[in-house]
Amino acid sequence: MTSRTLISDVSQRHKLVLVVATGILLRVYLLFGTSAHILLRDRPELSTPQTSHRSLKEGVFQRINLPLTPGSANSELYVAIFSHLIPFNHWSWALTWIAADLGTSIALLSFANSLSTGASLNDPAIVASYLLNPYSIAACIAQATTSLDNLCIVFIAALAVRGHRLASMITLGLTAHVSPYVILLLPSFVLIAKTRRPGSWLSSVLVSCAAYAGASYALRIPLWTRLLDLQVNLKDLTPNSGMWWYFFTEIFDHFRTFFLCVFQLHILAYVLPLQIRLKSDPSLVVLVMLGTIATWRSYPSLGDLGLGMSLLSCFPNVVSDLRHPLFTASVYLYTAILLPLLHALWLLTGTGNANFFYAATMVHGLNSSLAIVDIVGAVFRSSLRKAAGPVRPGRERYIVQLTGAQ
Amino acid sequence: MFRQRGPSPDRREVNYTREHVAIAKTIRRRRRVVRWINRHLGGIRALLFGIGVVWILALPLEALWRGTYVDEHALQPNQVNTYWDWSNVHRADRYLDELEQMVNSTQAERSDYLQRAFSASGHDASNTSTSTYAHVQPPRSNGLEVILVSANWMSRESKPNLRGVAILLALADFLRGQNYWANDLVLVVGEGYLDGLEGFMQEYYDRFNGVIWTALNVDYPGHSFEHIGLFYEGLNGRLPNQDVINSVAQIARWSGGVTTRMHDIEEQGYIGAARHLLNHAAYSAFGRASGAHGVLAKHRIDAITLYCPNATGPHGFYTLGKTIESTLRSFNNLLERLHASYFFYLIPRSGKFIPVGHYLPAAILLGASVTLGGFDCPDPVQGLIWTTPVVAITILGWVVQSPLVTFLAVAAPKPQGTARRSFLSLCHLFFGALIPTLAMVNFPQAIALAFITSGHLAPWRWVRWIMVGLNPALLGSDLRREWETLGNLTWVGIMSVWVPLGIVAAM
Repeated sequence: MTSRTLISDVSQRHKLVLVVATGILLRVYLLFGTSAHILLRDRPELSTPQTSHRSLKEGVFQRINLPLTPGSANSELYVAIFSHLIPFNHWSWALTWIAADLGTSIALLSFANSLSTGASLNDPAIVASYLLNPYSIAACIAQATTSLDNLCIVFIAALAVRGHRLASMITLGLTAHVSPYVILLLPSFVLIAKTRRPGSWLSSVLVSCAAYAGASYALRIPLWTRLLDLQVNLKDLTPNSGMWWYFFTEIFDHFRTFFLCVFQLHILAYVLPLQIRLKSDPSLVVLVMLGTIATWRSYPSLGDLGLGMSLLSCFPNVVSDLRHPLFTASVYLYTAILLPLLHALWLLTGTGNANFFYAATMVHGLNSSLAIVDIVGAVFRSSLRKAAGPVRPGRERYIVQLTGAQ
Repeated sequence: MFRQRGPSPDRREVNYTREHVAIAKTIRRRRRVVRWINRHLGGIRALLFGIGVVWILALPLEALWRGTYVDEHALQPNQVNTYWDWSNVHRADRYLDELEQMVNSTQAERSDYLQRAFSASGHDASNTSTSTYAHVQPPRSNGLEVILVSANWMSRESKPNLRGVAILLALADFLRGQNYWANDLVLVVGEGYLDGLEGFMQEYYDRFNGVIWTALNVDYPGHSFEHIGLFYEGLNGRLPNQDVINSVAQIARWSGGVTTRMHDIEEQGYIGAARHLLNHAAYSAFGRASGAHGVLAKHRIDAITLYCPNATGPHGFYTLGKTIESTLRSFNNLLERLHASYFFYLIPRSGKFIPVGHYLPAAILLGASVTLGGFDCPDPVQGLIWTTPVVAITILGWVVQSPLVTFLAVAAPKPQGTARRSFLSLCHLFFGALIPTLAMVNFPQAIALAFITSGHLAPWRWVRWIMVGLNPALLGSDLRREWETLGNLTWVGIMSVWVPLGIVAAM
């Protein structure tokens, strides 16, 4: 039975234009035509202490008008960009965020196309997976700096894959100022760049460090920035969609350092094994690490997860080997409903307490972990499938010939 | 020490190591289980639906109930000497005589009289556009917390609530000079049945500084009463903390000497409990308040209505006054908001309740039966694209504020083949996710949604067409009016969930 589909006979190029236009128009309408920005601005799932829009606005205002005050929890790099380069009004800031999302999707497309080894890519699907992704739309409307972080990370990836080694390392050094966990992606990006353009890994690392130090010097801040201190030491326990805040409200102070080390080491521990096991394809390490960081970092938000999902769409062979994508997606749907509902039940109506919200957070985090396990499994399955060659007709692989046995 | 490493096996060979055999067996077993589940998916869904329905039918059975108890220790019900006596009853009777003259008065005249009466009792009195109020400021109170007592002009019987207002005036007089109140009290007489009190609450924070934690609403239209009916449902299915109900029931029983009933129904056995639950569902499923206390729920105030239905019975102002006084003294003891007892419960009979863990699985089973129909999605992208007409017609419906736009879907293009399967599977996943999440907030409404969803997404076309025919426009325009005046979210739910379901069923 032929499947009657909508817009199946439109060419890929037209579909791409349609997707981009829809994404941009949707954001323009939501940012300029409705008050969705005000509603989403303070949501704990979308804004964390260092990505908060209000905090950034206050920091920029202080920088412009009261230059000696300490400033906000946001990265000083963003405060500097928004105080000197971008005019301080709602229109320019909204356009910046829309442009950032557009840039991220273009960079994703470039990354995917440079990465693919002959497999036909569905360009509109890749762009749609970021532009029409509800998580990234929500992060853009909330004007959390997560959208800008995503742009920087995908930009590094696109530069590295296209062979611009120095440019990608410099960008990585600068991005470490706004999202410190990108340092964990340094080995993978160095390896990606090395396969495209030969050069010593040490020089790549040194260039990154120099970019980081240079930015610190230019911004007149110490190397151990306030943002780094916040994320490593977890100074602020504002509720968010992560697993850390509730835990750290409960523990005793004399165990705090121990648990901080355990939680940070937990993320660090993923880097080396992934690098060793997926040595042949460092871009897959980037995929898995981004998913891990989005789940287990100290201040996660839904925007980080949006980036992970859209990066997944750049690997169609992995997507086709996922074992339970629909289950993962429906649990994300449940969590997307429950997180704001239980937060309101806790703080607005007062008929619940923090445990309700944290339970939804835990379901969210565990589902993300399940998705990462599925992705890693899919990576191995797809590589095995490729290595084993085409299936001979009439003979399934892995069939056990139970001759005589039960 | 280390395992002997032989030559690398040929990957295309079958059964090349022991581990290979073990994993192959696991894969085969997993595939067989998944195939079995997929073959019997319809039966599994029907089974879950059936168990959910049976669970709902089992709610009026005593096995799922627990006895109520007052959880907040500070309330200390019945532990206080009450001072309401027959002289206060006499004052209430005199106020009643004057109010009976004013049955056909205008709002301005009523407000004027009430303000004069409150002032004569020594309290500050004023009015908003929809209500008249008095601010009782006891000598030892610092005004940071306030208890609200209201008696609106219209009773639930659509008669003037004369005796309710009379006892409020007598209460104002009674409270003067007492020095054991730590809270201020605000006595409100709202116009109409619900709207007056809602109008008062919207202007409350312009006129007062204190925060209201608890409130009582009095509804006493008749002459004498035999028992007191307690109504507790708030707007959007929000219930007060169960301590309010339990303490009022205890206090009425032992200080007032009068029994209480839920919703003014007293019946025994399974049918009686089922009637209680259906009565509760009739209010909550539509998000309606069962009394004026319901509009207070939105403002985070735990309140119930005391309804004294007409009877030849022995009780009157004396009993009601003692009950109200002792309840207010218990509320006065609170040092923090009521948080100890349950916020989510069903009450099948006075003195018994069903905790959330005993009734929520019914909604979860019904939601699971819908969600399980969503795991057959061959082409998710096409499925998502086909949701565009649904979203478009829903937005159109919201713009014209009418659920009849569902019938436009009959003319819409219809998906076929794998696109149709994918589209329907995504619909199952989405609507199936709404049922358990709504059940956490408003259980009767979630059960109604579960049945509506199952009907609209049923595999049989005749069921779907019947459901499309039962368009929500049949419910009338009351819900829309309540959304605009009181903030009842049921209308929003109908336009954003029921209408899309109708569109999907018609496609």
